[in-house]
Amino acid sequence: MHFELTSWLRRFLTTHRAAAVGATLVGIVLLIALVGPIVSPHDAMDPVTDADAYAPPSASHWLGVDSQGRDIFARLVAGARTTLLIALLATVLSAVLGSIIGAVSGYAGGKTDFLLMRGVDFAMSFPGFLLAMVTVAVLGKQLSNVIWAVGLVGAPLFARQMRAEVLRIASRDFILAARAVGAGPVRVMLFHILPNCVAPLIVLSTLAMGTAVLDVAGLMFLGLGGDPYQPEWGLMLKQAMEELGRADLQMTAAGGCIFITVLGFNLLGDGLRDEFDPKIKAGK
Amino acid sequence: MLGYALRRLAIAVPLLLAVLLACFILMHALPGDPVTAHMGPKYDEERAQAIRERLGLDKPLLVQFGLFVRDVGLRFDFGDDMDGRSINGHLATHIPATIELALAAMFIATIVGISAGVIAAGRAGKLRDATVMTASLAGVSLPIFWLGLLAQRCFRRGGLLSEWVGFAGVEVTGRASDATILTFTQLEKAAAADLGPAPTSFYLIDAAFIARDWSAFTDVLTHLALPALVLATVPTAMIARITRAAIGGELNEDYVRTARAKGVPRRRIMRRHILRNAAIAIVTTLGAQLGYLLGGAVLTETIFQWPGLGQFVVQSILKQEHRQLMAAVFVIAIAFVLINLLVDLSYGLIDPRVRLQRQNT
Repeated sequence: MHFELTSWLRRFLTTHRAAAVGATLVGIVLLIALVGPIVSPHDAMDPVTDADAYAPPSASHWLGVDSQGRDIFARLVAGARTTLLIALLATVLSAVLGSIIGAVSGYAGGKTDFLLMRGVDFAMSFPGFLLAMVTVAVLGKQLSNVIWAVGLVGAPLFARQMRAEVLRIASRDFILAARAVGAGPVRVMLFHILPNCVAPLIVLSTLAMGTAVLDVAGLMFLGLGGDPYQPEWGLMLKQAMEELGRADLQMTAAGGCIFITVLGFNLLGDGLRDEFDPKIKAGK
Repeated sequence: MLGYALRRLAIAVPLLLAVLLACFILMHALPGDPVTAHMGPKYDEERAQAIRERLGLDKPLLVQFGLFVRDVGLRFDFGDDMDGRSINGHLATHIPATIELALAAMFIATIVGISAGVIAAGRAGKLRDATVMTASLAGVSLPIFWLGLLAQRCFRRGGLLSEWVGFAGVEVTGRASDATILTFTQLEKAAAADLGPAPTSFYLIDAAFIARDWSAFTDVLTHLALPALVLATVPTAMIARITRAAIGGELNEDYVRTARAKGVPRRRIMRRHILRNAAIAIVTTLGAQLGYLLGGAVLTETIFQWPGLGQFVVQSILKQEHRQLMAAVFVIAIAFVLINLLVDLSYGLIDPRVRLQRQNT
């Protein structure tokens, strides 16, 4: 099978306009997170020397200066890196952990399947954000634990999806053939089943990134992410709440960044799902 | 129907036991010694021991679990917090606050969400549909804490709206102004002295039916409006999306064409035929969203300083009040199980096939 990535991308982005908008938003935010802190002239942590606290926007400080005398634009750009990196790590954790649970559940069947899936049902019947908060409470209020909390809470969704995929694929002839020639369960899983589940996993990961950004920023906003001085969008909103009325620009910018990022991932994820889900396609 | 209800109830029992066990494990999995954390720098071994004894923390784990099942599981008694105040007392004020806010938000979300979904589905592929779907996707993507802050900035006294258009502004934090709360405290005192009915802690009900005080009622309503609207955003968007999808799935069914051929008016087809069939999906979403609102209003409650369960959870974590956190999680979990039970029971009411099918197996 020959797969042309560029021609596929061109077709995908022209047929799914909303997804193209989403991809653009995500691309911009990723670009800012990658190169922003390098090109930004000011430090995100130290107070600037050429302006007072609460200074309005100027040529040197595009979004002004916050109450601690720090450049808001520099913090916003550095915050993109923090928020996105934590959300990304959490999503990877969700995907890996959830996929393993789902794969084992679907492949083993029987009692293992029953127990694992009841556990997944149990975890999914609670609001994810509350579970994430409780997880942080158990692990301790640190940035690294925010990754664990958001990652663990996202895992059940992947487990369900992966189990369904494994059940769909495991009964196909090529799996039977692989097992007949003596491939063990791990080999079948890694080399025969997993490559066939890539598309749904990408769709789910994209959508999960949106949720993860919201959850990470929310946990930080509540003060559950450790060091309150680090540049992070949720923390910037927390600071803006404490100074409501005097930090309008910081509030608008930090919240707007979260909104744009989440919207971008949701638009892109919806588009990818329409593209990859044969059921929806057939209905068109 | 009764048999179906009983069978559903039987499924809920092991779930409740699982919740009970999970809460006990949670309480003991939380890091750090709560007594040490509570006493801070003024740590004193003898007093610490006294607190441990009072809370039963010095007993063996198995005995503690037995006491836990007896107190929490059978008597719904969560014991005392570190300062020796009854946790049940805290819950008695925080639970009604959360329920009042959640129901208000749900009221808004149900009406707006279902209407938007119906409008979008009726014009599938047209501009109105695209508008509703785009707005709902934006609604799902909105960080609710940002929306809350923006709303406060605009609507509070001396906020942006009063600067720009002279809007007087409303109180944006808490459940009611001090004067109204004083009225309610007096009601409580009167009730304690057998001079009148006890207030329910549902402020709208208390103001309207027990205090019968119009200004208190409007005061409570203005405090409730903004957080309820903000909290309603995500559920409204979700309900609109699900409603549109559920109705869209029914529009091309044979029964719709038959009804149309018979000359049944469009509105009547929508109400009597399509909505009935789409109801299961919609009710499922309503139940799930209500559950999320009861337990997930943490951010909204924090921003609007609404003294509900969400804020209680945050405070418990920040203060390392393990028992208090466990109690809040327990209550939210029970609410969840009950809502799911009600949703399942409603399936039986909506769709006769559900209750009959289960009977045969």
